[in-house]
Amino acid sequence: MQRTAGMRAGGGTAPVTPRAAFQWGPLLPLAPALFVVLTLFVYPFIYGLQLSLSPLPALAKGGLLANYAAFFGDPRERLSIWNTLRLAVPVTLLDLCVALPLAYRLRRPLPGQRVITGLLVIPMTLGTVLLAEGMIEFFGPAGWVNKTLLAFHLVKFPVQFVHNYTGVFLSLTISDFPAVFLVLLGYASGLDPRLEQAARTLGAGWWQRLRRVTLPLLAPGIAAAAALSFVATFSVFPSAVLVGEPAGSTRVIALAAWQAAYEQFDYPRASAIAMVMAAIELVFVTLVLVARNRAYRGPTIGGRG
Amino acid sequence: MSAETRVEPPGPPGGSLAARRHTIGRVEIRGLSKHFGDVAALTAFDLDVHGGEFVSLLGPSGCGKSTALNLLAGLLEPDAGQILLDGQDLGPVPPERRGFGVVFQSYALFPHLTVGRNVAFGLEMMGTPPADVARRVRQTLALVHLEETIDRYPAQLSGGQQQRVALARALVIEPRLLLMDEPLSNLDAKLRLEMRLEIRRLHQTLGLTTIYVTHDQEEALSLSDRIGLMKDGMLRQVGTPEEVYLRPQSAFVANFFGYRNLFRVRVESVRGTRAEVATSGGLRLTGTVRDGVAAGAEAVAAVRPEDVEARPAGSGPGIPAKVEFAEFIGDAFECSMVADAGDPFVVRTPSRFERGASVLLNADPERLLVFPPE
Repeated sequence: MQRTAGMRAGGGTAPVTPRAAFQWGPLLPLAPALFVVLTLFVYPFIYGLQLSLSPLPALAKGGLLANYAAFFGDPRERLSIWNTLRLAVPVTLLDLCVALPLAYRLRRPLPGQRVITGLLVIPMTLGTVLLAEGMIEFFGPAGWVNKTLLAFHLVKFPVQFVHNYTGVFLSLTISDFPAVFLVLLGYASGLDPRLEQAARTLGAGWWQRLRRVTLPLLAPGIAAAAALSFVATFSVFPSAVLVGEPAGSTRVIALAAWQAAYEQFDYPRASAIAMVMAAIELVFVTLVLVARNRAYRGPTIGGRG
Repeated sequence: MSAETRVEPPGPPGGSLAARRHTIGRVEIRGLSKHFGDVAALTAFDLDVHGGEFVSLLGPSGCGKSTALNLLAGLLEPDAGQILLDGQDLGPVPPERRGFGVVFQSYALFPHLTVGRNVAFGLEMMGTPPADVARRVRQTLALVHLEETIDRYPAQLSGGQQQRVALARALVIEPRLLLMDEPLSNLDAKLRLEMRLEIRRLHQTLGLTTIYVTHDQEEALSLSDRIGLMKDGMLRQVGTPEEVYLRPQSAFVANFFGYRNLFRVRVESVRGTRAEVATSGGLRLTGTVRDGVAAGAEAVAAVRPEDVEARPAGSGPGIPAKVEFAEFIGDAFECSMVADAGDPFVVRTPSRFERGASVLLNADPERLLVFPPE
């Protein structure tokens, strides 16, 4: 900030006062953004937090944390965390594993690259509901997938792909893929091809180049993609209902919160569940960022001052 | 890559090193060609480099010199031709098995590794025992005067230091062949001069066969045992710095080495090595012919600014001309002049000529070269 102030003040003949007075002027353009963050993020968060600490009369004797105690005390409610984690973690890992080689391959212009990239990104434009509709038809008992499996006598009876864990897993994997892919593509296309060539001339085979050069340089991208993907899938709601089994295996934590709020009209308990959700996401993102910071941080092109 | 064909570890030149110097790292390049689409990047490239020799490939950008280097490194596959190192065909050898040191124009240092780890990279890939790695990394960093930066990251170094790390990383693996692609082009003028001396010193200490790509003729002249001049993917002339500087074989080479006065001329007569030529403006010059110049033919006449003499008008023979402007270049002036016949000249003069002054120009016929047209 001081440097900005100094440059503004004098150009070639900058004042040599040892400590310029702090100038608020340059911070002014931040005000609108700050306003948005405060009103749309910080205020609702604090409101929700205080709401979660004010249990309804039925639970009031349990004290400040009664809502949290109720959530963690109920096995069915607790299970919703596990139901969500066993979707969010595998989906995130699978999308990373599929997107990483694709992004790496497509980092340089190839014939037909635009078409391929376009196809990979399309699921983003569909929206969960349209995707769910399509999946119910396509993967349904009379859908193409089952028809094909039956025609080749691979199965005797239609396989149930939707209205269970598999349905939500597939839906999330598809809808979450584009974001993961695009984040990784951005990082991968920033890789300086000379670095891998340098590694080659120094005797590194493909596995060593991948492990010693490419992956460490992509680590920040992998971390960003993993964090985004996990947060997006951990807050899954529509597909858990539409192609899942909302009363059972896919009763995810967002659904638990929704039921508390709109079936039992217990806003404070719903807020408590939302806080638990936020806390788990925060823990995951923190873990990812810690892991990332242990890896390299900085530019992904060859060092040139 | 067997142990007995390796150069001694970097260090003071020992007797064994000097003895081996000319027996290893011998490169023979035969008919190397490479196309990119319809563009011929390199055509029928032939070059023999003896062990320990420093050869520069010099030419303007796009002349194919970097293509040649990438082919040598194995980073590109040739369309045709052969590269032999000490008699061994490198065709089937992938870059990671060639064991060459490569210094890239952008340095290509691994940004996520410290200086020490960057330099250690090649040794670790070869499976060198950790204790040896540490010792050789320290030795090589000492060789480029960078011991104290061993734990820093490339981004924390200056351009010149990064350049030294790139050199150390290539040298530590004791390559039979050192390839350098415009290594100094990202440095400022002062540092470039300093690193030039450094590269010369390292070459004299280690005696590594070196192929050095550059577009800077000064660099090539000062560093090389021999220079290969390239244009349009072809090698035009190979010779010692003195040969290419004093006896260019074509107008292109002449132009590259400071023959800044080039004229399209018609050859009037040839007697022995002496030719009379005339420019389109009717200016008549006397020069020395190169092969392939006959009376009546089109040709190019070339002369250096320092080989043209300018005197105040009015005394004796010479080409009458007027001074356009004079540039001070330190130990002399470089004056742009226009002959009364209309042809422009650049002339180096010991004193300043005023704008508009009338002068007489004379060029030594020995130093005015007449080439066949390109």
